[in-house]
Parts: sequence; C-alpha cells; structure tokens
Amino acid sequence: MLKILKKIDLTIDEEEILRLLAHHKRKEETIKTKLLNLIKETKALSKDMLHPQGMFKIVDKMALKEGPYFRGEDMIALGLCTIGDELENKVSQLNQQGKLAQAVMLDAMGSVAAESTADFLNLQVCQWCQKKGLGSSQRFSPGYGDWSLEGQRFIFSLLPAERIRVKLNPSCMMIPRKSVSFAIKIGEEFKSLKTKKICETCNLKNCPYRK
Amino acid sequence: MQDFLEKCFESILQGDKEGAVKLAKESIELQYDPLKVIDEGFVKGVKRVGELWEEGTYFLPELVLGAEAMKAALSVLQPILLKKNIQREKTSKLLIGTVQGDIHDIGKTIVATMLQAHGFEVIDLGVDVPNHAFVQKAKEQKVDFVCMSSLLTTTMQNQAKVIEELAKAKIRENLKVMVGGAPTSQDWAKQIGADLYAENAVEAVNVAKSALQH
Repeated sequence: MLKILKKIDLTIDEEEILRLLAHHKRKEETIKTKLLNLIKETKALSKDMLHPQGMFKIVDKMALKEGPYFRGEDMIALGLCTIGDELENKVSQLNQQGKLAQAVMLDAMGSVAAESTADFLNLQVCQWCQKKGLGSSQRFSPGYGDWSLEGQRFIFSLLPAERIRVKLNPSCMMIPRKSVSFAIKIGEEFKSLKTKKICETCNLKNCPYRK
Repeated sequence: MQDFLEKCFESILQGDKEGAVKLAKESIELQYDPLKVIDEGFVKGVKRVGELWEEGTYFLPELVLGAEAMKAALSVLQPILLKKNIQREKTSKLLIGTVQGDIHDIGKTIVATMLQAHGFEVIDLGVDVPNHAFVQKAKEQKVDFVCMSSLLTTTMQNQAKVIEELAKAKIRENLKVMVGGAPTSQDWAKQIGADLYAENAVEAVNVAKSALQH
C-alpha cells in the first residue's frame, strides 16, 4: 500500500524553533523582543516557501528480505517527506547577502517544518495501523541510533521518491536538505508498547539537540 | 573615553551592526586609539556575547548578530590599523570548508563568521569541497589552520583523507587541522590525527586562539 500526500497542513511550533537555536544549557529567561521580532519576521517570510508533501508505504516481509536491518520484521511502514527546496534556496541567498542571523532562523524554521511534516505522516501510519488492529513502533531514521546512514538506500529503493522530487546524493544526503525519511515497525507486539521519547533510543548521547 | 568604549561594547552585545559601524567611524573622527577601541570596546563585547551563548542566555541568532556587528566594526577599523602600521595580537590565516559529498552550509558559516569576528583571516571554500582543493589552497595561501566540517557519517572519512593529502604535500607540519560537525568528536579527531576539535563556533574560536599560543 502506497499513499502519497501532496497537501499537508503544517503548524510551526515556535518553542521548537527556540529549542533548536538554544545552547543545551539554555536558561529559562524571558526571550528578548529583538529575537521575537526576528522569529515573527522570518515566519512571515517563510509562509509561502513551505511546500510540504510526503508518502508512506506499508512493506511486508517479502520485500524486507532484501534489507539487512529489518530481516526479523513482518511488516514496516517506510516514510519520506520534504518541504521542498524554496526555503533552503532562500537560506543560501540570505547567507550570501550577509544576513546570517536571519538565515540561521529560517534554516531552523525549515527543520521544524520538515519534522512537523514527518509527524503528520507518522500519524497517518498510526491511524492505518489502528484500523487494522495493529500497533506501531516510534519512527526512526537512517543515521540515528544504530541504523547507519546507508539505510537511506534501502528506503529509496522501495519508495518512488521522485514523485515528491527528493533524491539521494552519493553520500546518502537527501536533496532537498529539509527532507525526512523514516521507518516504523508494525505488529501486534507494538500495541502495548510504551512509547519512549525518540531521543532516548539514540546513541548520540552528546547531541546538542537531545530532548 | 570609558563611556565611548562602553557604547562599543553594548553595540556588539545588542547585535547592532549599524550602531557598531557608526561608533567605529566616530572613533576615527575623534582620533581615538583604534587598538584600544577594538580591544577594550568591541572585542570585549564579542567575548561577552560568546559567554552569554555558552551559559545559555543567548540564542544562536543573537550570537550571530553579535559576530556580524563585530565584523562590521572591524572592517572600518582594520584599514586604519594597517595605515598606521599597528599590529594587533597574533591572529592567523585560516581555511574552512565542508568536506566533499556534504552540502551542509550554515554551521560552517557560523564558525567562519565567529572566527572573522575574532580577527582571523578566513578563506571559506564553501561546501562539497574536494579533498585536493583543501590541500591546494592551503599550500597556495600558506594558511595556519585548515578547518573541516562534516555532518554525515558517510563523509567524515574525507577529513582523514585531507589530513593524509596534507602530509603527502609536505605541508602538514606547517599548519593545524581542526575538525567539527555532528558525528565528529574529540576521539575522532585524535583517531585521524587532527590537532583540534570544536563542538561549536565559540569553542572553535577558543581552541584556535589557544593553539596560537602554543
């Protein structure tokens, strides 16, 4: 089963943007007006630059025989989404114009938007599982935890990524950069699973963005 | 003059680029010692901005705004130093880029901007920089530092390859190599024979400065 979603409504969580832009020792102090104005201004700028779209596919164990990482699974969902390349082109442009602070802000906004798009797809997968009386694991992506970045090739071999204009470069980096790929394990055993925070399962303990 | 220096300090703290440039120009008109204006006004400001970020009070855009204001003030005052043949504390020439296969730009640019704000002469090679380009430019420009960023586990090996090529070109001993990027670490730097590792832009400035003293 393949589902492609070309229209996705996004909500950009400002607190999440601030989390990405804060030092990990962030003090809970009042945010200065200048910074809030920069967020407001950048949010307005990004409004027409976000083009979220995505897809997910339910893959059964026949297809999984080929993938080294999921050999033991009966069924998984693979997802891929993007916000397009307009925002990151604008980031480069701002950078070249010497407006680095705004470029940094816009880049963070793009990251939040891409994750929010992935959240939307994730929800679709959960709803599909619920209808089938199945459970689902949390989502995880190549390059995180013990799944190597080369896992991207497995995802891209099973999804028609070109239909949302996402491609992989030879280093397994997705282009546009603000794209997210992921897998979700599906099965009865996940129905009663208590969901851990996504960062708790990752080995990158000193990651500055660890939640 | 103390009040004036205080204003210079404050302009950087507020990330006020226009204000910093105005003050730099004013200091020339008032014939203030440019070295004193830089070191006791603007530099003090950019150091404080770094501290405020490190202690978790400032957000990344505020750190960047401070660095941009500092760079703008320096661009006004540095020609005056040159004209008067005044030497600032020892700084150096530095080459920076994101390694081949990786097109992550923004983190590397923040590091480059912070280093410039602290008086380093920075040559930014951009992203997806071929290994030989690091070596060629380092040789050509006789740089003191080669800084490489890599955000991918699939490309970080290129940092090691560049170090090997620098050795083959017989210039490895003449410069320090700094590495950084999400999958890298102090251990990784040691493993590939890099001299320095920095986790973020403020640390990059600190380790580069400290390397200059040794």
